[in-house]
Amino acid sequence: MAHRWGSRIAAVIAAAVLAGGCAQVSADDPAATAVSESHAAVATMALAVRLSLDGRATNQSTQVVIDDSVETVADAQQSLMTSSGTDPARLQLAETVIGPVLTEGRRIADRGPDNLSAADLQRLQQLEQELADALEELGG
Amino acid sequence: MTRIFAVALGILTAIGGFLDIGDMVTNAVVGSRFGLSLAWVVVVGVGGICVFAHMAGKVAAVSGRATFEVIRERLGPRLAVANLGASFAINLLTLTAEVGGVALALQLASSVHYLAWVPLAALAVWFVIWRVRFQLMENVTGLVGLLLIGFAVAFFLLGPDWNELGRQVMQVLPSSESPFTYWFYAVALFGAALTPYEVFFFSSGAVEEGWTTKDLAESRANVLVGFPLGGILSIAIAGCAAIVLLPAGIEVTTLSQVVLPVQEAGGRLLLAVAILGIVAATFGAALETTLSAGYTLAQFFGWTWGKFRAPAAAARFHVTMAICLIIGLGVLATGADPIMVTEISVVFSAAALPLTYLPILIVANDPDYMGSHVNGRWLNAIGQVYLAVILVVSVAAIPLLVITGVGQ
Repeated sequence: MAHRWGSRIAAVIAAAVLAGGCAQVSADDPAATAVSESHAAVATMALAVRLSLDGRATNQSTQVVIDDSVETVADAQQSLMTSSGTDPARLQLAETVIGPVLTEGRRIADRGPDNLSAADLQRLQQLEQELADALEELGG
Repeated sequence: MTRIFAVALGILTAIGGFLDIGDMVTNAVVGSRFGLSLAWVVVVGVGGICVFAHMAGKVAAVSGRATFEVIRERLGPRLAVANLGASFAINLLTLTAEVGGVALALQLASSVHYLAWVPLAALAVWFVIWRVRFQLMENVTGLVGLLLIGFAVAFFLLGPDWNELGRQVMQVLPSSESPFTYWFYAVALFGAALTPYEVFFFSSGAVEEGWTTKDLAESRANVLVGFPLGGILSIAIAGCAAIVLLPAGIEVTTLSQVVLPVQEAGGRLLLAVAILGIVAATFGAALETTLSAGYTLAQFFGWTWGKFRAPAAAARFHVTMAICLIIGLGVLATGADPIMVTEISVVFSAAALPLTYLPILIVANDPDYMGSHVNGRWLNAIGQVYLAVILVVSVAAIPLLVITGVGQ
């Protein structure tokens, strides 16, 4: 009896793993994932820059948020380069939108929180919108 | 008067000491992705830690011995070694995450890279364990950790839309997330609330402080008032993320994102309060996990242990802790992301929960150890219901970790 229950539990776990594996594969789109992660990173940067411009954040914390976000975008771009078996058109779209985000993020990080301006915030919000549009196009 | 002060101090330190890096990160991640739809897990988890910490404290106060000593004697070395193996490994992972958490919090305050802070944080943990008295250590970190109340203040200052938060609380599964991810984070939150080191530290701490049956009321107050209030701070962290980060499409992946809602609500002053609270909470938890590493091993092997003894009189206990700190330092020095270490530690913690909590339930039911303080019918019934939940969580933890790719 105990043996039969053990087998049933093992079968349920195996089925769950298999079902989850399938779900994971269908959801595992490197292009959409990279764009989604970059979108979250740019939204974070935009929030940090706005808080800094409003005088609600310290330079230290703003710098850390921006550095972390740039690292996230760099990782997302790196994962695109190493991904295989993805539709080249989708990868191309993702690379096109993520590249400028990384450039802008690094520029802001290098200049430091003291030199942030409303134009930086506007540019980040524009990039955030471009990433959102790309994500929609990718069906993410 | 002294008694009232002692109880109040105990409750305050229990609140401040309740949260660690696992609670903070997991609640912020969950709030930014699921809103408050998983708040019920925190409530269930806090109930669980109250039940089992109360039992562990009672065992220590009545028998004058810590949980691990009694487990080995009562259940024999074979079951005790399974308990030790799982608890020790997870504790080491948690210790690594806590030291990483201290370093990340100091990075937020200074913008100096966290890897530069890791050795200093580990050294400070070792120094405090070596030199500072147990009660002073516990009270200072617990009381400064209370500054995490900054998250609760931020939550109210943000002017939450109560209808929306109420809708989130009632929502079983947000449409944007898969059921697997939802249940993965439910397991992670449960694991974060019931991390095994908490009961080992609680029961060993009772021995360090020389509790007797006269202290049972104080112990009960610490657990039944302090822990639930700590749980409210957990929900406040999730709530802050749900109000600010979720609508902005920001999924928390770093500690720096966790404090953004605090800045939005209360500016630099509240940010400073929150960072100080995070440093104290993670530093306190790093002390507790390091001590728990020494406690578990020393109590299993029957070595002399305890901070109430001079280090030379408990040499193996102190050497164990120093080695564990060096291992944690080594893991972090490889560049392992402390947040990822935290997420993995809470899930593995959930997987190993029965090995920690079943022996406590057995010992708390043994009249040979507990005499007239053996578990009553109601406490037993609640303990058994929780044990059933713990078993389900334990079975589901690793498959969910694999299926979701650590909650992706």
